[in-house]
Amino acid sequence: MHQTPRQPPRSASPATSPSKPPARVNTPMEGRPRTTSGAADRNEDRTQDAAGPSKESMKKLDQIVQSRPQNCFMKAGTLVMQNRLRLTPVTLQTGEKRMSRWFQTDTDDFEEFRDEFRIYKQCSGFDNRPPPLFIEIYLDTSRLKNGQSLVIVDEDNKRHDVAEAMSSWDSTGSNSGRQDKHANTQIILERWRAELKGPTPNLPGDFGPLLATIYKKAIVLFRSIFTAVGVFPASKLFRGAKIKGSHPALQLRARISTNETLSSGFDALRSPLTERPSGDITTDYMFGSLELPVGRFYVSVSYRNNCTFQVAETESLLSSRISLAISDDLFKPSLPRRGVGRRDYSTEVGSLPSHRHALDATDNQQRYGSLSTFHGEGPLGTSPISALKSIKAPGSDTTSPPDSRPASVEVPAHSLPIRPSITGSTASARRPSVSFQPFKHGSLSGSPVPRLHHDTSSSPHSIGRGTPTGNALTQPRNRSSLTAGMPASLRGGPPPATETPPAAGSPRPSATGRFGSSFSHRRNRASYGGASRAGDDDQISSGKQSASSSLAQPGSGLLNEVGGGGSSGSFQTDDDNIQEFLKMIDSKKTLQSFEPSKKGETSAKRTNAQLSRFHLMRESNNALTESMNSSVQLQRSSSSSSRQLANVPGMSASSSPGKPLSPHTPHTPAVPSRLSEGFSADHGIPTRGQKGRSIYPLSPRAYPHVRRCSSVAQQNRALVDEEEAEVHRSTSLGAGDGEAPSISALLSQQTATNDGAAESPMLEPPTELATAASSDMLPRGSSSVERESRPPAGLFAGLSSSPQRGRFSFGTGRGHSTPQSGNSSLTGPSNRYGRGYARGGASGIGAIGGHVDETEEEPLLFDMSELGQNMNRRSLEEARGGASLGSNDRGGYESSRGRRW
Amino acid sequence: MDPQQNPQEFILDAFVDPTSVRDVVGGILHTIFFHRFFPSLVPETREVLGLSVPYVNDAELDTMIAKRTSELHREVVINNSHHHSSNNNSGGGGRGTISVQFLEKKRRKTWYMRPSGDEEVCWERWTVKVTVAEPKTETERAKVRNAMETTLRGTVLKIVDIVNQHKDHIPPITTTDANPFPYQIVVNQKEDSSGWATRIGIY
Repeated sequence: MHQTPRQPPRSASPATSPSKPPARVNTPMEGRPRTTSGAADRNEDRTQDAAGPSKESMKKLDQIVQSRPQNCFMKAGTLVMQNRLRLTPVTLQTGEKRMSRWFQTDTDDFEEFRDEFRIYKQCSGFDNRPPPLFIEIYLDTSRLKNGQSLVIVDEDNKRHDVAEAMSSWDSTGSNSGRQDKHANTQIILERWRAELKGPTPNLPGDFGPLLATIYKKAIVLFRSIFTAVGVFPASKLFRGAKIKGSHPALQLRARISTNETLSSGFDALRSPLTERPSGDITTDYMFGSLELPVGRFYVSVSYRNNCTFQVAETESLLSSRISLAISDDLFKPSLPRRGVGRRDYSTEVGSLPSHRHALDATDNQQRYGSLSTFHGEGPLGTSPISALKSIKAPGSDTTSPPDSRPASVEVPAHSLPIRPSITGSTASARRPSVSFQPFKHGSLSGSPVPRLHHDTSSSPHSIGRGTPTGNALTQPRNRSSLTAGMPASLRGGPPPATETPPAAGSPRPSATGRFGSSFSHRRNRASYGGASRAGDDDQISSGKQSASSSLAQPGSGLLNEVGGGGSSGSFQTDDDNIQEFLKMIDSKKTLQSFEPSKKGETSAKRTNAQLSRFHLMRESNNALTESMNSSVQLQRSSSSSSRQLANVPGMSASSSPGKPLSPHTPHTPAVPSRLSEGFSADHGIPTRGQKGRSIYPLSPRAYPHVRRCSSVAQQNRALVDEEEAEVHRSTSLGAGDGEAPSISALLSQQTATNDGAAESPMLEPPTELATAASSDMLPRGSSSVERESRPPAGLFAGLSSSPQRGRFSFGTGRGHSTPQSGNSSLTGPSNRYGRGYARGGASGIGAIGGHVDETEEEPLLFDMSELGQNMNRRSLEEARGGASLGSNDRGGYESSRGRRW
Repeated sequence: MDPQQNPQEFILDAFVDPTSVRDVVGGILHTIFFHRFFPSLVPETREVLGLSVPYVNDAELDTMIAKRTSELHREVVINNSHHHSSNNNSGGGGRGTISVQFLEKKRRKTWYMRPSGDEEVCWERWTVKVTVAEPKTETERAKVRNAMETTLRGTVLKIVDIVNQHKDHIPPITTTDANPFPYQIVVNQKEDSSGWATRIGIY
């Protein structure tokens, strides 16, 4: 068996190229002359029949029968291989190439595989039936040099080392006694099968007319084979090999056999080359059968759907993996995971180190698993859901205490909580006790606490609280400011190493955002979908859904770029593109930027999950919650309402009113106590607050421009930033704290004067980010406002929803805590505010914003979905997007419910 | 089979952007003809959207296809942009159809027209529904590009499927002429199947 067709460097390839058989140059008119001879099938058939020793009818018959199968096999094999291999045409002494003109389809005869085909020449339709013909087209990885790897690029533009997949084959397929040698190095791309089946029919006395019909049909059959060969995935490899003088490992080879090489279940054709192949690995296609006098001639093929192979330097492959992992949200454990772990630790330092650390160890592992699952399962599918869930959870948590959200979001990233939620039951079980602390601490430890203090100190908040209306306005702003500030502060804090990054980090994120912006739509969609999914999954937390959606939207640009955890699939592709771009620029930088963003997303998810868990914990542990509530209440009442309130509800400027709100209060209580502790600790860092204030200005601007929406956007930004910041945070913890207070200050400032000269610079970057993220594609500076408005809407919705979520989730716990009249009354107003926001933002704005974005792209998408079957994912995404929109609405509804509550 | 009464009819889809109308639609038509052009030929391909699409190297046919696809391009892209950029049609692009009819020559059966000799009877019609997308952003372009390739591949494979499934209606080849089956290529035939095609024509 000549497995490797000759690969004569012969540039004489013309022969190989099916399109141009050198010998006979087809002038358009050429066809005619031939046609005259061959156009009439009957004529040709007859002539051939006659030409043969067909004087006797039997001989004639036999000749026909004999020649047909032979030529059928030969022609089928030729048509396949001439478009897959570089073949050596048979050259006659006259210098012309010998051609086969059977079936009105002229092909060159070639030197290769003569022995294999000889069998068929000796076959007879009657006596010696031809065996089935198998042609396997494969790649031979043994041609790779050291340091080179054959990679397959999946639909998400991720590269997978084929060798790894093949090595796994050994374990599974070693049993098969087949050609094991090849199994390790050969990747079968296509397996063609041609065979003559059926009993030998009783031939009619005169089959002349029959032959004409057969011949006519045979022309169609073989031409259709040629057509199919040109559009099968492997066709591109062949063309690439022709053009580029490509790598030998990328040159297709063929093996011809008369029996299927499969001895066991293992099939090198159908074995996956990627860890988690999406869709079918192979496609089976059967061409129409051809009725011959001697039976039915079948041609069928099985081919790999993904034949996007590349030869990559191993080093680059490794680096790409890293980048991919980063982009994928730690799809692969290696770098990204580590980074996450580090961040977490650093963050922990800020918050509750010891507990978190312990958790982290477990969490990290869990994370890996969880992350991998997300990615692995397919960006769109399961992972998104989990992501959504996690997101929702955080949203709910955040909702209860607006401040907490930003903090919580950040915290999760830092701390374990998020992970546990993601990981699932185990994490939750562990965390219950611990988790509570981390959250509280995390949120508290986060900038929020300081901010709260400042806020409280700063009259504005208190005032706002006093007047519900004012509160409502201030609250959202405060929240946004807080969130923005929080993330920033948190980010700033922890990672010392990354301190330098922060400065660079901010620019990077923006850059990423910009890059992402073009893709942002997709991501946004994905995010939406994710949110929707999450919402679907967790109906309980309507707010969560909205929150998730909002988060996704705001973050969408950045988040998407970063993690795109929610919508991994679409994101990944975008990410990949981005990554490539970044690589172009600076591989390291890109990695960092991605990592942070990813981390942020993951963190957000985690936080959400953690929050959700918290809620669950609360529910499950009502007693605990009650105690917490009591403590909270005590704290509220006892501790100057302003501070504590600020802290707890503090999130919302309306802390006092907010507390009343059952949802907020319940959360706050548990958290607040710890928070209060944290506050006390935080209070120690007043200076930070000043710094933070300077930073805050950014948020203020955003607020004025964006209004609430802006706040949301800011949050998103903050989230994104948070991710980045996380690294930074460790280092800049102090700064972060300062920020938190600054937020309150900012709020006050905002209320007083929106304009902050100092603020402007800070604000601008965030806006850019937000715009990049929110604005799907538009990098315009001016557009930023508009865009902001959109994303903010989403954010708002999320925020609004989040409170609602909190309400729902907290429901049980709240019920316990809230009973207090004062709280309830307070909640009422706060609810109203929240409602207003929720309504405007979530249902109204959010929906609109979502629609706007989607509508812009949708037309195409729909078209795409309609047209392209392959577009499944995209269509799905779209669908998701639609669903997400719906979810937003749902969120609004739910939120409304919550309000009613 | 009585092709005269009920010609086989097949519907294909083409998704294109304004710049690729002629290439893609031409590729589809060539693919159709590749399976219906019974004179002997050397199979050739042309690159369309990264796919190797069959190409029938026949000057007359190629000229006709080029002419008709240009006509289609004019109606679908240019006219569309003039009259209304993007109103009713989804995606803001235009739509159009191009259909291929394969005929067979038959002796006229009508005795009162004896002298006229042959008549041409349609035994197969392919209708390609062309949707023109007009991507405005890079993202859209990339998506459209993918969709075009996906759609083209699907259409080509659909042709393969059809020609393998439907062979019996091909009239016997009784002539020794170059091409036993005359053909017609029609753009935006109003009598076409349903209203939308007509609408387009009316614009």
